[in-house]
Amino acid sequence: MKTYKIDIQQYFIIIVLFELGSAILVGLGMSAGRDAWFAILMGMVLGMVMFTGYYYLSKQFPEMSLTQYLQVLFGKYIGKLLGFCYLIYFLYLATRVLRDFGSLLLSAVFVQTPIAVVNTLMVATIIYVLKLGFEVLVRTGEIFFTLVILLGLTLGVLVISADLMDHNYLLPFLGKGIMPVIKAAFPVTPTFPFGEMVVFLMLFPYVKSKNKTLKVGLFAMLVSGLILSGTIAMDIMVLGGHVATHVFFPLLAAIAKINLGEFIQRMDALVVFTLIIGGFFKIAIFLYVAVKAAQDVFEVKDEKTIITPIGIVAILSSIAIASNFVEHIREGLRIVPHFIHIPFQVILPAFFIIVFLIRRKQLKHFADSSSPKPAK
Amino acid sequence: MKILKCFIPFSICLVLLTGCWDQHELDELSIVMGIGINKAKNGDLLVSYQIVNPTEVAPGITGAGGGKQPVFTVYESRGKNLMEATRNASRQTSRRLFFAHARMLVLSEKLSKDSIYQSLDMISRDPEVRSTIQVLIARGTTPSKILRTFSAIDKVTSDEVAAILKITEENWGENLQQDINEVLQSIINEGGEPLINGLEIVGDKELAVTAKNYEVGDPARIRLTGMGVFKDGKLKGWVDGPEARGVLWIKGKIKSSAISIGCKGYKGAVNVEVVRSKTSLSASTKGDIPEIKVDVFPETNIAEVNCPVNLEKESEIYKLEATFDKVIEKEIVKAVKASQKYNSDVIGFGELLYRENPNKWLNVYKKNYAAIYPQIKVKVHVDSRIRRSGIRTSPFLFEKKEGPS
Amino acid sequence: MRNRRKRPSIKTQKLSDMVANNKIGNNSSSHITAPSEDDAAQEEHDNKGTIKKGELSPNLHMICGQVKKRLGDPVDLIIREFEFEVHPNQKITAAIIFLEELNDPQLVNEFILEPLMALKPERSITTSPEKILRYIKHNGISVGKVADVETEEELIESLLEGLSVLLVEGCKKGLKLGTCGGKARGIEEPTTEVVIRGPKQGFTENLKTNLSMVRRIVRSPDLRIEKLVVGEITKTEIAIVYLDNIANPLLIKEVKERINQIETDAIIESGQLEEFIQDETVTVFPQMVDTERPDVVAGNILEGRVGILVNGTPFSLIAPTQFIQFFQSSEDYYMRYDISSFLRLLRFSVFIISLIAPSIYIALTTFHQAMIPTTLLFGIAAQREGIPFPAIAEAMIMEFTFEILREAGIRMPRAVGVTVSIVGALVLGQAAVQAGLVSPVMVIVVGITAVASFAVPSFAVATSARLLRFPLMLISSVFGFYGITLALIVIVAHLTSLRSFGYPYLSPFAPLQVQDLKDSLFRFPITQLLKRPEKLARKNQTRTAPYKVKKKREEETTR
Repeated sequence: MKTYKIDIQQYFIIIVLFELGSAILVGLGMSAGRDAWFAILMGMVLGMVMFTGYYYLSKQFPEMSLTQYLQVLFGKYIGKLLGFCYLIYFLYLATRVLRDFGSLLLSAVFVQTPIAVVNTLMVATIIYVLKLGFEVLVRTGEIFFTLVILLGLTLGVLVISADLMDHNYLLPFLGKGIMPVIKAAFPVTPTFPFGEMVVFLMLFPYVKSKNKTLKVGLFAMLVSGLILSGTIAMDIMVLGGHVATHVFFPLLAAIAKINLGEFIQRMDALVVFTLIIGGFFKIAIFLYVAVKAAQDVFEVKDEKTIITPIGIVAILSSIAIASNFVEHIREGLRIVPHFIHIPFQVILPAFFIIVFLIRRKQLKHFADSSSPKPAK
Repeated sequence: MKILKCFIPFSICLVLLTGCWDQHELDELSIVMGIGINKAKNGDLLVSYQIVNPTEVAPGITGAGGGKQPVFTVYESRGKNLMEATRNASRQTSRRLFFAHARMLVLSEKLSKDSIYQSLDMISRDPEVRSTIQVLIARGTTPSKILRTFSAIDKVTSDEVAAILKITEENWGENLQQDINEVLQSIINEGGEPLINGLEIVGDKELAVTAKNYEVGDPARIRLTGMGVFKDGKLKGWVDGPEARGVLWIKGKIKSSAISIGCKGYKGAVNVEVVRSKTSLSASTKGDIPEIKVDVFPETNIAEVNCPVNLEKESEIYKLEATFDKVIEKEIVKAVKASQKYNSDVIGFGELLYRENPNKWLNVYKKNYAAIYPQIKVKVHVDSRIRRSGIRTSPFLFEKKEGPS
Repeated sequence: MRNRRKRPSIKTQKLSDMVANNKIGNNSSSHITAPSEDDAAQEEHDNKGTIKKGELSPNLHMICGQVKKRLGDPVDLIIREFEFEVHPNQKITAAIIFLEELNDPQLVNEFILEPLMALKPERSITTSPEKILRYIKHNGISVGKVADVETEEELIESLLEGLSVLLVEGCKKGLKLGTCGGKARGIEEPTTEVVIRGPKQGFTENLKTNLSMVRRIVRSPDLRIEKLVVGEITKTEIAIVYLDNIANPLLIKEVKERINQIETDAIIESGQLEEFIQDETVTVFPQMVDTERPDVVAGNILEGRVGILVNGTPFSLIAPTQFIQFFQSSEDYYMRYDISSFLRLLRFSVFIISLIAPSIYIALTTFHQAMIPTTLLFGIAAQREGIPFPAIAEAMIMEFTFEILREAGIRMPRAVGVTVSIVGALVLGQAAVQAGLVSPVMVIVVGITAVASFAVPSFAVATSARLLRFPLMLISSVFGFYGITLALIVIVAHLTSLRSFGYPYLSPFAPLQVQDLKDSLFRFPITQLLKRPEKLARKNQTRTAPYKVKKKREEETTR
């Protein structure tokens, strides 16, 4: 089967969509109060360092995805075991975002709808799109990217013209010292959303122009980091630091304040639209990566056969993952970054790099002999 | 197999279709326009809801059998907290109360004196209520009476009040739109306290709550009156008139206003229209007691002159400017004094100090802000500019006096 | 039914021949011809043995008899036997055979019979019939298109094609002569694609006329017209038109292959052909542009596309097709770029409106009442008071009614059509509102949707919006904007997954082709449209010389 390769601009677009996905709505780094925007920038820098590491790792195996070269690096069985761990991790990430997304939608719009229904509908859509192929997902991303950017610009202009912002809310910069900012920035912000770029370990082999991968990737992260930071700054300027930190979706609350001439009001509908699109792409990419990992681990020939089962697993676990939203959020902020994100995003990849460096010579031999293989 | 594959999504659709969880037809909703909260003797909340009868309000529909029903109706309900009262109200309403379009939240004076905290949480928590809902206090009356008052021009009182507030803020500058978000923000701000607009009924209060209010020439009306000053969530007192405007001057929220100043011994003979104004605040945090400097830069036009003054002379204009500066200065000083009297930082000096010197604020001032606030020294400096004088130069009074000689 | 139709057998037979030749087939209704086609097929089957035997017999009467038998001795078969002199005093018998309505009798009379009968024979002519035939071919007939006929099958085919055949006694060959004629619709203004500015001629049912129209616009030696024949019975002629120096050879190969692979009895309209050669069957979106306008075909082949013209229908196809083409009108290129950009945006938004307007209404009034401005909400709520149906039922009823009205209006005879629209507008619209069955807002929404769906330039794509509207309304009644958004994602994903002859349907948006964006939702000034579509025109990319270069050239020449 001919594998589909993504253009460099498509690669850029999916990174931005992926990064903004759910992060733009939730108050990212809000424990830093009015310096949240700065915490995001700090997280972004760290995330970019991590990304460079991922790039280095996958550069060694340009035509292979993580779960494929793990089997080269560690032999078939340990490699598969590690690959399986990553499969679970990706699936868990998909589940988490799905749950996040469902809960947010529930608390904002669908108060009485069961979360299972909302999530099922979302996953059903994703399964449909993934069955059409990764290519379709990426191209759909291109179209919605333009749409989301246009919407974002419109909303930005509206917020500015409605004269809602007060820059005083951002001052004083680092009023309570740098510590709250650092606390907010580590470890949450680098791992979410920037560290989630770890999924690209699975996607790098599908990028067309390899020499630009790092540069464009970092640029995309920079762009999305700036957008995130700017959005949060805008939220704070509109709502004031304290309200912004105590609202589940600051962006929604900020946009809801727009009221131009009693007619242009309640623009939060547009934000909900972006929320759904962003959530869709993020979950879809996680699920796709999980499918790819499963394909390698279980040696499935056609990825399309396992999309539906994995999707159903995601739905079920998204419901079972936590009994209420607070538990879910607490896990998301306290436990997950430390015990799940950091091992999978930092420790394991670093370990892989080290193992690679040690086994370099042995592997080189292997790589030479196996390199013509993917070309077939 | 293929049929089965088509059938599964179809049946899922059917299952989904049966439960329309959050679907509410428009005719199953009571659109709440205003919420009033009062306190009963036993500590329960007495909540009133102003509900619109859309057939009477909608343009064009009125012709068909309109005029028989009132434009709105007010339900009253009680409960230990707001949510309980709201759900309790369903014993009287045939439809679900729908809050997304509520324009104002009226608190009673009694409740405000006890504490407003209790009534704000649900309003800010419920996803349905818009964060742009205006918070007001019924001054010298009860929220339920305000909500019951029939207004003559705009059909729904709550709508009218929201409009009044906006107009007043833009034209007169003694009141400031305060939505639920801003109230909460000012409560949480460093050392901050909220400032909430007051509402009163003027005219025949008996008549106000009957539909006859439409028919008389000077019906009872609802009017904005001053702003309530809070301390720790309790209403302490009111700032009225120029005092209130002083607060807005410091906050830099004056958009436009009309201020009378004296001229050549005639009291209040010249009226100056403020076109725009800029305020800059700075604080010196060297001492134990901070010093705050308020610089106001209004741009004005002369709107009315009832004294013989030669407006073609620059020096006269400068004189007027100086007089105007003094008037504003006085207003501001009065406002500061009033707030210091109540020991309530409604102006936001705490925020300012925190911005200027976060360390000192957190370590020194914040702890005994109650003791420090009344002593804060405020230096006011107003530098106004009179730009234009309408489509006339000197007033005819001046011509009359100077002309023949 | 069948018997009744058979009784006026003359007419039926004639029609069947016409249809078989597909010259005037479009004028006759397919209901009548269907059984006769069967008959023809039956006959063909019976006689196959005798025909296949190959060469023409030199016996004139025998051939004539065979032809008569083969065609069932139809009334419109004319066999004119005559004699002419080859030597002084030596006469030879010849016959001209043709189908009356497919040929122009005047042509036959003036340019075949007349010169032959008046032939002044020379002495040198030998008596060998072959030589006589050659002599006639070169000296005797004044018809442009002449070719030899060697087999009986060929003879029958040329007769059905609308040629006349000249046979000479004792000769194993005949001559087929291009005397095509008969009545066809004249060139008229296209009815489905009316423009304010631009050529007013539209295709007709006659393939030759249509090809001539294209050739008149594109006078290039590189214009290629290739003829294919599809349909076991109808033998429909299909012409592929492209520019050899622009179009991608692989594309042309693909188009030809797909057409050649078709195995079917009949192709009567290009819509049938479209269904055979399109990429994806399970979709509501049209995958080929159909057009009645020669200038549209010309414009598209200039971009590297292929035009497919089918005999018997004025609608020709264009392949490959991008989604965005359905929102472009040929007029866009004839008007100023600013107004055409505006119009394109307008059409696109109109498509979106016709797709989602009712579902937005349902979502707003049943889920997101908070998003309606307060005053408007009062209005809508007041109108909804006392309506017995939920919003979704209300919308469904109205949309369905509208679809009925539309269908009735199209199929009705024109005189009755007016009545239908009056009944529809007054009785159903106004009365339903007054009776309190539907709210006035709903009528407005349906009205907007209807008008919007008519404003989309392509009928084909308006139809897909029409079909998708109903599922969208259903999902919005259950999930509000959430459902609509997900449904839109599904629709867009489906669109991106479509391909037309291997070219992505949604390009230049997905995958993004910046150069081609200049002529998509907007139309840039023509001096900016320098390149042909990137993926389509493989060979000759530059369309317009860049302005600066041109200027430079001018300067140089003036020096």
